[in-house]
Amino acid sequence: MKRKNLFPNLGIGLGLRSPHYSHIAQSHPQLDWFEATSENFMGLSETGSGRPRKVLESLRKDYEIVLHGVSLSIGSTDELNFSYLTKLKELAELIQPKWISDHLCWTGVKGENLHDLLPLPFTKETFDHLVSRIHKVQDFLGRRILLENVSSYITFKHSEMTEWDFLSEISKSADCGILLDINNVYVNSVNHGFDPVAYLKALPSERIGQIHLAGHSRQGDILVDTHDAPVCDEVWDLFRASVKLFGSISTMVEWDAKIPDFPILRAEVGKAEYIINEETEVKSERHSLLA
Amino acid sequence: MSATPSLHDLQIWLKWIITDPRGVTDALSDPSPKGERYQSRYTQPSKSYLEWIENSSIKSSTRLDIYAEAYFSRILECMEKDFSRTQKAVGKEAFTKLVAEYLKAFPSKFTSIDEVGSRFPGFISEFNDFPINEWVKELALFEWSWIEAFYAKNFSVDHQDWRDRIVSDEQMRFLVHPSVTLLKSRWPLAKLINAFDADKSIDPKDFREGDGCSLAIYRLGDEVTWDELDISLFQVLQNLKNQVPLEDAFSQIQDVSPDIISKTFSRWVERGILCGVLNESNEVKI
Repeated sequence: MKRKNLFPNLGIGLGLRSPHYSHIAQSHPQLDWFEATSENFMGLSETGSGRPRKVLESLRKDYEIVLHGVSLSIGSTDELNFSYLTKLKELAELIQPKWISDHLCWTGVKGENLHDLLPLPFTKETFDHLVSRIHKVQDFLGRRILLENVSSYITFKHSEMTEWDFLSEISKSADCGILLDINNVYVNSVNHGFDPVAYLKALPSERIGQIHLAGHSRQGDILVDTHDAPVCDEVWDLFRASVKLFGSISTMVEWDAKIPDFPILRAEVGKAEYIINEETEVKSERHSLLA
Repeated sequence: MSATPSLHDLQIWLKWIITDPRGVTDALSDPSPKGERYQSRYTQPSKSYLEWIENSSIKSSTRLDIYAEAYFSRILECMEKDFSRTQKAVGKEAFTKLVAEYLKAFPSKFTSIDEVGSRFPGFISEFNDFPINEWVKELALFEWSWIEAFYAKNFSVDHQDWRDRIVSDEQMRFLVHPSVTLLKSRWPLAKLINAFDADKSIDPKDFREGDGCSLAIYRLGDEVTWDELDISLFQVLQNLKNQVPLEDAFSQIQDVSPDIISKTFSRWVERGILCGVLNESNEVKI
């Protein structure tokens, strides 16, 4: 029996990016929610949060917001950064996001931040390390977080599990959600040679709270998660497969480099809306035929 | 094959190989070079863990290169945005070298990439590996002040409510908006900034030391902006920022007409540079 999803379906959203602030404020585009990158609204260490915080507070009046971080570094072997978590908690108290997410990765060690989403070996040691830290973060924030599968260009010979089993088991043991990045699944399936649909089928659907779609680029034989292009056909196909498997889940498009005008971005996420509508209508038609 | 690496050792090794300034291939071929200024950044921290990275149809060094390139290019892109005029001043190639040197000395310890450049103005003021015009150092400081103003605390202002009381109390002390940074330059920085912003070519001979200027950088509404101030008025604003009472703040002003003083003061109020009145306990009373 299919379990009830732990997260509400917010509908269709977009990643909030600074070139679009004015457009959104003036035209109030028809969208259900925005995802804001947490660190962009947490300010600098020795100052406040300035203009970005004002923009987010204003946007919050009209839209649901989710916070998506890039520096939690949940997989790092450094101590958890509680000064970062305190600022994140303060931001969450102010903005009241529907949820907070970050990535299943590490971003630095020995106090340095490489500002990249670095891959982890899928070992028992990593597993235990992550579960313990996710519990601590969730206890501190007082809420269940979501963790996103990342794109990777290397894998480790000593990994003991597949990525999809690792992600599934982590989410269950740590009682957290999954932010499923369909583009990252596709990129990794090409880079490491696995079946992306098998990946999706292995995931616990009730824990998938949000879906990311994005574009990528090719560097030689490797796909790189650059977020600088439209979503490709293969990723749309995989997204359609995910809707068939999991139903309609809060879905958004990320675009972080060579950012187009807002209407182009809105049209891109409109394709996701179309696929969701198509697949859920097909499903309800089947149900009524069976009835 | 050696013993399975611990997660910690693996991360330390990956950090080294991704951030070694020479790039992955050179770092792997010479993991302990001699005579580098920032030796630890060039030195493999323990034994190599390369053998633990899958090395199928694509070489593991090629795969690691993607992370190494992304590390540098992501930070460079951010600093090019934050220090766009500084980059124009030194040229793209020299700026890239400067950032590479900067990252050796000050690798990011920040959770926000927007903060990575915070020590850059200080770094280039000490930098002497290749010649940099002295005024570039102050230009970089100006640009970082811009970023700080962008992120400075928000403070809502109600001008009309307290404007009348300014005239009546000479002991009044003011709250200067948290975004305001005052910068006194030995160079004609205002002229330089205007030239860069208008995409005009710069002839360094036109900019002489001693033709200094005084600037106030601040946030106006949602945008950061700046004013060039007469040195006397700059000192007044500095005094007000230090919470000196109104009368004393203006006491040393010379050679500025009362009309200009009045107009400047009104501008500061209207633009929110002065955004509140302080009581005896230094609390804001608007």
